[in-house]
Amino acid sequence: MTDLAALSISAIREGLQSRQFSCAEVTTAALKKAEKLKSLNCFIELSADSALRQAHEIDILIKAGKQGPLLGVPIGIKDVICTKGVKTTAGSKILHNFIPPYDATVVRKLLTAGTVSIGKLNMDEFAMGSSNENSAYGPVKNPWNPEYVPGGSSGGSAAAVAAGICPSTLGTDTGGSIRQPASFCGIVGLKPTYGRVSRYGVIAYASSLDQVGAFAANVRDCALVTQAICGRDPNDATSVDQAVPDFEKSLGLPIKGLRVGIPKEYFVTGLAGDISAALKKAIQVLERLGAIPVEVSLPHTELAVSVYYILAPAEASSNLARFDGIRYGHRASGQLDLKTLYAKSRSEGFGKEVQRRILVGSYVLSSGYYDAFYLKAQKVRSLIAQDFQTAFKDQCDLIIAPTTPAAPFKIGEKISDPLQMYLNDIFTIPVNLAGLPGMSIPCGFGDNGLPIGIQLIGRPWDEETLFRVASAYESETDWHTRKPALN
Amino acid sequence: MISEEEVLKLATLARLEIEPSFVPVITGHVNSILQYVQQLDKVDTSAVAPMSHVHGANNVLREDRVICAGTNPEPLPLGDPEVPQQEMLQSGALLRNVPDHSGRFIRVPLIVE
Amino acid sequence: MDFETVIGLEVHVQLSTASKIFSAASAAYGGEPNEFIDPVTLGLPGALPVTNKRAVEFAIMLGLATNCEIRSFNRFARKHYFYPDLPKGYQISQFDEPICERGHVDFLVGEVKRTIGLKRIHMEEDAGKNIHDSRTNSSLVDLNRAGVPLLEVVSEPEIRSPAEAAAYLRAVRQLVRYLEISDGNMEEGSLRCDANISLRPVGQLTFGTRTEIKNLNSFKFVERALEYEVARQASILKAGQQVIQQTLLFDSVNGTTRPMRSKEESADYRYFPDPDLPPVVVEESWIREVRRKLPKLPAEWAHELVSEFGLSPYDASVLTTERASVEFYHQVVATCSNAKAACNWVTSELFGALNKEGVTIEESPISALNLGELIKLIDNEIISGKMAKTVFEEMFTSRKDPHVIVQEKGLKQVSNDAEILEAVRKEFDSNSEQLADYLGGNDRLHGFFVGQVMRATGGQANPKKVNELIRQEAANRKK
Repeated sequence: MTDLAALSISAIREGLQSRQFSCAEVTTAALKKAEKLKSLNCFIELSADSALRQAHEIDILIKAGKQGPLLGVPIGIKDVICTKGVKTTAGSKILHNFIPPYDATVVRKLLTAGTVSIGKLNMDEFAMGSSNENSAYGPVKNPWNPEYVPGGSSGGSAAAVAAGICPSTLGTDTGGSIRQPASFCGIVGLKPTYGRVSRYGVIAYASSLDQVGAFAANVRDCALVTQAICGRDPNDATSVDQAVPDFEKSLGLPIKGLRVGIPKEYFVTGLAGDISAALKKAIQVLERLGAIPVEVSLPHTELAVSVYYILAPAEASSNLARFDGIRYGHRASGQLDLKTLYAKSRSEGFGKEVQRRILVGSYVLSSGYYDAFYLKAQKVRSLIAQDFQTAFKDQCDLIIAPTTPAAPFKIGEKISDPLQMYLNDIFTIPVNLAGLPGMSIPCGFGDNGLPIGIQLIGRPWDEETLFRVASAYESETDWHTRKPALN
Repeated sequence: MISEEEVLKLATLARLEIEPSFVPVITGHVNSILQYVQQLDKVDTSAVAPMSHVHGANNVLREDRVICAGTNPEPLPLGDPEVPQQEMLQSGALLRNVPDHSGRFIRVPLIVE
Repeated sequence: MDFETVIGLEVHVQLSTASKIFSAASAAYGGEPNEFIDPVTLGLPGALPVTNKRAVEFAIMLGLATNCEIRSFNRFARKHYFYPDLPKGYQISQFDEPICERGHVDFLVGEVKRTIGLKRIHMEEDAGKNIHDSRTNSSLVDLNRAGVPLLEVVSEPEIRSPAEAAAYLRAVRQLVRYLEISDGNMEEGSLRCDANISLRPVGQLTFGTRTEIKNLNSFKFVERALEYEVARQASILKAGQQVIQQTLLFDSVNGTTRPMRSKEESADYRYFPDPDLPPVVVEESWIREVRRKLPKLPAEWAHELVSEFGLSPYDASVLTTERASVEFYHQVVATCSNAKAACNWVTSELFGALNKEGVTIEESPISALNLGELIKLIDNEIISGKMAKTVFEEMFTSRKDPHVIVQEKGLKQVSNDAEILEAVRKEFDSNSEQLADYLGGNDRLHGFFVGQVMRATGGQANPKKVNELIRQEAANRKK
């Protein structure tokens, strides 16, 4: 019996069109598998009833002859994205009872495309974390080895795809939260250019850094879902009026002559041996296909983590000010005066990492410190963005880099030292700071047997080149075919 | 560089209540982060403009129109590429998450002025 | 020791846009509690602001009307504080880059011309409303008003008396109503005022310690609160003590000010540019377009009325109180070409009648055209001035055209010399004693005969002619 849940999007589409199986059957398979693999803790909430209802409606449409690239495909949504009538928690206790009265724009787009939403995926609380250990709903386990983290903050989204529960999920990426878990779980994850995808309905962490993106088991599926969610939204003033190309057309195109930039600052001590070896091999594959590796310099690389851990907490402290238990979410009980009500509701509702970042963020915005910290960080951010601009101007067409400095670590291994955790994001953070598109694709396994990925970074609005190179790499390798052995 | 007292002041500003036993721990964490990010001091940014906005045009403005949809709108028919404007949902639906209310009002402890 | 009063006003103008400044929810006044809300207004997770173009336009209009410099590169900033009527935990405002700066407001205090500098005008969103219920120890929050566009107009501390403050406030109100960007209604809260006041010894250049009085919601309260505060601060300073810097509320029942209990000392608002809102760039072309569409402003109208129409400054100020009034007046003059008469009829007769009925000039049952026609009838001696008053009353109640009324009631002035002369002769003949007196030189009897003739002609004789012909006939009889 084919594992319907583990089929690619194209295979599902084929099967549905040829009436091999129905959407209801695919959806049921996905839901069953999610149940079976409950111990991974990918889902905060499975929406079995509504998913099956949706699936039945889609089966009617299919019978009536309707077609579409994503029609009938089961999809999971990171729980930071609002879904109307379906509890949305952002991985936090403070929203344990929040039921959005509206859908995020990306959810509407996927509904329009005919996908079936099977549930809300676990994540680090308010997208703050790199291991999914900061969730109020328990950690997510890496399907390759449940003692290890799946990465974060979109840990549930990555694990669900890697475990073959559904072909694609949505995540968000602020400092690497799509790319890093994609790398840790051996799958494809793309963070589009900032402004490509609407943030309306996406619970904000850092407004100038957040972007929604797709996880998938292969490059084509990632392209299909990315296609569906891109586009200017009048409800999001930061979404840009940039034409959305047909990403599928980039797949299979030759990459001969493409200049692949290799930032020399990225090969520092601290980069694990297995990562550096895998990266070198990957570069060789691309070279075989005619790409030209070029050394480039991104001189302000070492400052990126500092810039991020000033700007992101600052924006977060602001975005999280609305969580006060007044209009929604957790409100502390008892006869409390207003000020105490605020403090208790927020302290009972927010986890330690969130509180920590709120404190840092409030500090760097406070009068007296604003210039030295926040304003300074904004300026260095310009320098980091300029580094990429210079490289892309006439030195290279895309940049290849590690996604993470080391292979996945064990649950509990790094959680006690926040700063150590932050330093894991060194390769992904600069991409968010510069607003560029970045993709992680699987390229091998670490010494500990867990997956590692490489990162492709493109010019603004040039996801096409990323898809092109990723697809070429995929055609020469078989990493994307490896699946974890789940018992 | 930041004392426990300052951390408590920040907590008040941010409406957070930190358990007394956790105060030294979190002060330590905040300090190590602030210490780390100080590395930015060594960069000369006198000639650099801050990057407060990422990409995209200026003047992203909206016409002065009230958008009102009495009932919760249904998902669009398949194939419709248009995403509708902000919908104004029935206010009842919007208020459904309010923890404490009195009629249509949101109720909070007495505000003393 | 003589003290000088130093007052600065912060006026919040609620704009009369259809939708809110950052969301498409309605900006209307009233409604059921929490009716005009949407995810953005409620500050729901994931909601995002989008700027209302008209709000920006209104800001530019007010800036131009107050001779401000319009900033070309504008950003919004987040101002953070926790309060139940502030859904996001921050207000979207402008911090160190306000859209308008360095303007001035000109107005009259009595007969004296005053100019008060404007420090800045910036755009921001309004907060919701709280109703406090101490019986149940709770407050009730209504977010209808949350997100309504506001312009904050900050004056330089150049106001020198409470009366002047009220006059300045009236001038601001007049401007926003002329521009039709706000109805400037203090009772409904579309115009709100906070006042900063300090005293300093006359001649001293540095400012004294100031207090802030918040939420003054009528002209009267503004003046009274400031008067009280001037006296309070003066007595403190005269006793050699210090004024404490604090935020006060005005107790309108007792006429006193008292400190606000909850205001935190020097709140840290943690301003930073709002990353959700791209900058608003106001190019010269936009400013030109807005300037072209500006209506004629009070000062310009007043000048025109005085210099071109020959009205007194006082009359000009009465007519220009509201844009609707001066435009009405203008149309009356356009119809009858008699500026002075139009002024009299509009300011005494029409305004009187409208006030009595509680009707605004926009709802006037007498149109400007018709009033002009009425004046023409007088000027063309078709009816007498006295008769015109009767016609006017009829016009007011029936809304009819003056010509129609004159026709229907047969009120045409008798200007026929022969007819009048006949009446004069008749009266001379039937009042021989008075005639003898009159011919003997007692000019007071001229009025007697005028009255007689007018009565005899049912009030319709042309008074000028009556005068003329009485004198003429008298002269004839003397011979």
